[in-house]
Amino acid sequence: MFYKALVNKKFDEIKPVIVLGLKNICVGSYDEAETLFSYLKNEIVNFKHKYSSEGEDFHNDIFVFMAYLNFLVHYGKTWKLINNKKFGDSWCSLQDSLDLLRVLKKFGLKTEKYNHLLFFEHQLLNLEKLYPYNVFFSIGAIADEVICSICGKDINTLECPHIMGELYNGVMASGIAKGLTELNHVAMVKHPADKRCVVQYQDTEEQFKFVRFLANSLISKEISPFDFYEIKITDKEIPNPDYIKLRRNEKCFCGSNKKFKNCCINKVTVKGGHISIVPEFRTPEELMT
Amino acid sequence: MDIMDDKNEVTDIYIENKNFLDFLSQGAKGIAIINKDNTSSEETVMQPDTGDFLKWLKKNHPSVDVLPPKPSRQLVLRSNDFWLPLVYLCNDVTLPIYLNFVSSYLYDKSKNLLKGESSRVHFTAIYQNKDGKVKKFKFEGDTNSLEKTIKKFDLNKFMED
Repeated sequence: MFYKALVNKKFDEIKPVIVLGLKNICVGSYDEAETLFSYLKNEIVNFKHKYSSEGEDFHNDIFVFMAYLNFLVHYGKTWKLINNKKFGDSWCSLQDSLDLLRVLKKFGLKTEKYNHLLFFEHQLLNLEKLYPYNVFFSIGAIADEVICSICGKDINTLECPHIMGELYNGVMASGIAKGLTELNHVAMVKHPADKRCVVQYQDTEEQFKFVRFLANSLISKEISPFDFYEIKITDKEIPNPDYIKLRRNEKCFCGSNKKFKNCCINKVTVKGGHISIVPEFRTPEELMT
Repeated sequence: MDIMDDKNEVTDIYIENKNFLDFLSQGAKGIAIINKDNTSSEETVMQPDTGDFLKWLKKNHPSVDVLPPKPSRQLVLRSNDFWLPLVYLCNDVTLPIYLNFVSSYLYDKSKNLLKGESSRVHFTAIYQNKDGKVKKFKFEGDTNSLEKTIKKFDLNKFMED
């Protein structure tokens, strides 16, 4: 998983606890899973301090290790929130999980090489499709300067040797915008940096019907989180909710002013999207091999 | 950037640009990074990925002269797209070469993408064609669209244009 043999050895040591945490998620013991993963995070913090004199590769590995454990925490939290029908919050936790998967991919943990990461990537991208969000809000602002979080210099000049998003001795360089004095615009976009900026719906609203269906399946133990693999969206004929059977020569119910017989008489059903959950049954042990 | 931000758009048009010609007349080489006009005021601002692209060029193509932009305020966007700066291409860096630089940059920056995700990029380059006329090339689109554009702009066809 990692560059340094020392870190790989540590990973092998804690792997059984990771499997136990995933088993807890499987059976709906989300709090127990979170406790285990938090314990592992502390373990790695102590491990890092013990070997603090190791070089940059070690510290970068530890960064990735912590990102991996944080991913597991947010993964469990996502399912817990869905189970508890906190759909708005579960979307944010899902985005936390996906962002952490992107970090893991960027720094060498190719999901194709690791069975369980490949599974999580596929599963969570499909889970996203159950939510009602297709459009997001994105601001544009003017900053006086953007400072490097590591050296404090302007990150857009050659005086700063750091590149945003790269690791330096276990720390990721980021740009801190200073002097945001002008809001330039707000845009509605499909590809935001942050998918959390969405129109808020109440958890009880119709927009969450597909996630609610999944939550009900989890609560009734019909499926567990690990059974959900992907969704299939197909067209299906469904009863037209607006259909009213009228006499043939009456004005049509749709408001077109035409006669019913020349308008919606045959629209008893309409095409509607139908979502099927496609399961793929795997145990945590199978995933972690 | 708006709700229709899935569109792919390529334009390559003749323009008049005295600043660019003055710049060339100074005997410049390589690529010059220029700040863009802020649409809401008269100042120029730096595009979001200017510094990152500048450092990438310096690291990966050290033999290419790159003139950094003048210090200015920066446009900060919460967008997943890549917003590259306006560049002037001197005669030793042709448009097809620059397009390949951009393509390589996108490839390096896209290693964190999840399955099904793709990068989008926005950039503009001003250059002089074979006949000494100034052209502005503007691109907005995803990596697939950029690859198709690069194929259309193969070097031989470009020199005949």
